Amino acid sequence: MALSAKKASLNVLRFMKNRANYSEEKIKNLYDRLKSSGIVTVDNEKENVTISIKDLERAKKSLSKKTKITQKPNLPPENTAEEKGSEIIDNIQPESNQEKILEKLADIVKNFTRDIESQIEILKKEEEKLRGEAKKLDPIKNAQAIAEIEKVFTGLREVFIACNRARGEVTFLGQDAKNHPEKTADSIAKAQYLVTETEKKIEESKTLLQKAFESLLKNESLPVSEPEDADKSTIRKINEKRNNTSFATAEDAKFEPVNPNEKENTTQPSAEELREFQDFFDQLKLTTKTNLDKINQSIESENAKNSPSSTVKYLKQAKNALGNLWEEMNTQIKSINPLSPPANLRETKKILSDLAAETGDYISGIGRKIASETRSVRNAEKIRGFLNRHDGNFKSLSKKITEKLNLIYKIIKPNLLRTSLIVPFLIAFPTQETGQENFRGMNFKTTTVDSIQKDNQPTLDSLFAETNPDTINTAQTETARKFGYRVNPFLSPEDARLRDSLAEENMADNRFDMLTFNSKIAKAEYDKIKNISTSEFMEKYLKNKISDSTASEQELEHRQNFALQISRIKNFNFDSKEPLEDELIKMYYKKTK
Amino acid sequence: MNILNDLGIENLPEDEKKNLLASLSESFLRRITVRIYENLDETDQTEFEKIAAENNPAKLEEFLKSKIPNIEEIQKKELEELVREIKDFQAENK
Repeated sequence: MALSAKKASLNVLRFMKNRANYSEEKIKNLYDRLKSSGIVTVDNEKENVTISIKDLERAKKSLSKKTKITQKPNLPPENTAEEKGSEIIDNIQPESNQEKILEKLADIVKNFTRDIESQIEILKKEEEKLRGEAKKLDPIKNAQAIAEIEKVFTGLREVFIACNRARGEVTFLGQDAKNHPEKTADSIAKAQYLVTETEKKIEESKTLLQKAFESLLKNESLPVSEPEDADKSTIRKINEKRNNTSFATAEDAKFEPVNPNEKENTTQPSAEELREFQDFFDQLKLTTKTNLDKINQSIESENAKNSPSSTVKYLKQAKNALGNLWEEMNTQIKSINPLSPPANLRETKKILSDLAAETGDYISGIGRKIASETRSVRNAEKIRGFLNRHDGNFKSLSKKITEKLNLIYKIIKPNLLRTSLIVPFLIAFPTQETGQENFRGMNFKTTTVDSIQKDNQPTLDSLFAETNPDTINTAQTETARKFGYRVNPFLSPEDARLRDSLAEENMADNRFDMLTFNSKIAKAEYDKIKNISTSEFMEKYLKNKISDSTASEQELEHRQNFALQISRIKNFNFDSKEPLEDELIKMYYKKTK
Repeated sequence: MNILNDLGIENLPEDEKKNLLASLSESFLRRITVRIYENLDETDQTEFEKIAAENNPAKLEEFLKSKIPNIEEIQKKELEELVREIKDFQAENK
């Protein structure tokens, strides 16, 4: 085992080499002595040297009694938290006193506090930038990306909380060391651990942010850990993540409570500051509890009224948000020590204020949703009233006319639906208000067609039903019938010839394979349609075909049904010049197989 | 803007929205039927009934277009009228 390999993790030896100017040989002898006395333990398998804090102290004491050491004036510049912690231990000189150690610890606290504030500031700026970018995303098309960005924000929130806790705890350790000199080494180790862990978290956040930006640029979904329920609120996710964090808390560190009477602590908050915080906390608690009670009452009342299920769902989401705030309040208050410095109190107040504001915004949003839904329900009632009256008017026409109209209506309704007269009209009709927008992409078309077809002959289920070759009087059906495959009414004569020629070829080679055959056809068609625009597709495959006077009734019906099926695609734009959407290609593909 | 927003029912629960729109389209079809009938003279009305009974959509379409060239305009106006009437009714019953 090479001695140099152990230096990094064995502070005693580093101390001996760097500070005491010991020769390699002397160090090795001392190391062997330490090892044989059990102070230093060696893991032979991993070639690592481990030593406990207590052992380290013993070793240093033992060495200091036997050696006269001169402290070097200029310490090398060291940046990382780990090095800062090591530096303190390295500088425990025989002549140095507790005061100097505490000064060094105070430096750690000071530097860490300064660093952490600057890091938080950087992260917040980046977070703000990411929010700006996220706002530019289309909430429907980029729902997944937005949900993932939300997770990045949640992760950041967790880091901010962890940073603030670490700051408070490191500060507390500094104070604790003053009051308990015997725990100095332990305090240093804990502080070092917290500093390292916090810096690690910050680095991870920076990486996550960086990846998020890169993904946004590439228009890909964001790289965030495991999938989570998209319905979960941000606030709830904060709590879940927080609860799962491995970050050390005050409780984990098992601090002994400081006795306020033991020594005067000059950094304690003043009585006024404490009272102010208490007032803030009490007020927040009261407001949260009052709102929770109100929401519970609303849920009961809405349940009793048989309100739309979504109203109750929204109210429950609001209740959860308040519950999370309540939980966070409890967590924060438990982590506060009465002797915490005023900065810690202010930070806790800020965390809770921010969360309360976020919760307030969230609940306001829910309130708006409920109000909007309530308005819609009221409007719907009025529409029903109008329709009842309208039906009444219709029926109040003279008996003779009414009977005749009813009779005609019953006969022509299915036929009108089957023609290009009514359905495209229902699907794409410009409203009076704008002259631009229409029914495309709205539930109107879907609902209309679906509901009317309940009592109508053609059904959507028949869309992909096999067309009976016997009913289609075209030359291409001869081959279709011969080989027993489905007839595709949308196939152009050119494609039909290709299909027939492939089939004949396969038959001739006695290698006929329906699956291969079909996939070749599908591929040929797919290649053909994938580059055309939606509007071209509609023109080519539907409009002309629907008005094809040579087509049979059944074939026309089949095409019409396909048109209806297409109209069910959400936000489908018949005039789009963009390439066909995958959903339509898949549908068409399915049809051709 | 679209019809759902025009009538203020865009935030209705999905099922209710579907049911209501089905009723709306049913009402719309009735109105169209009446308008078509009104636009045909007595002879054409008889012819219309006859063709309708044949259950031949292409023929029916051809017949209607030949007899009522502005049928699409009529449909458009009818729907606009329906929406307007509903909005008036909503306003009256606030």
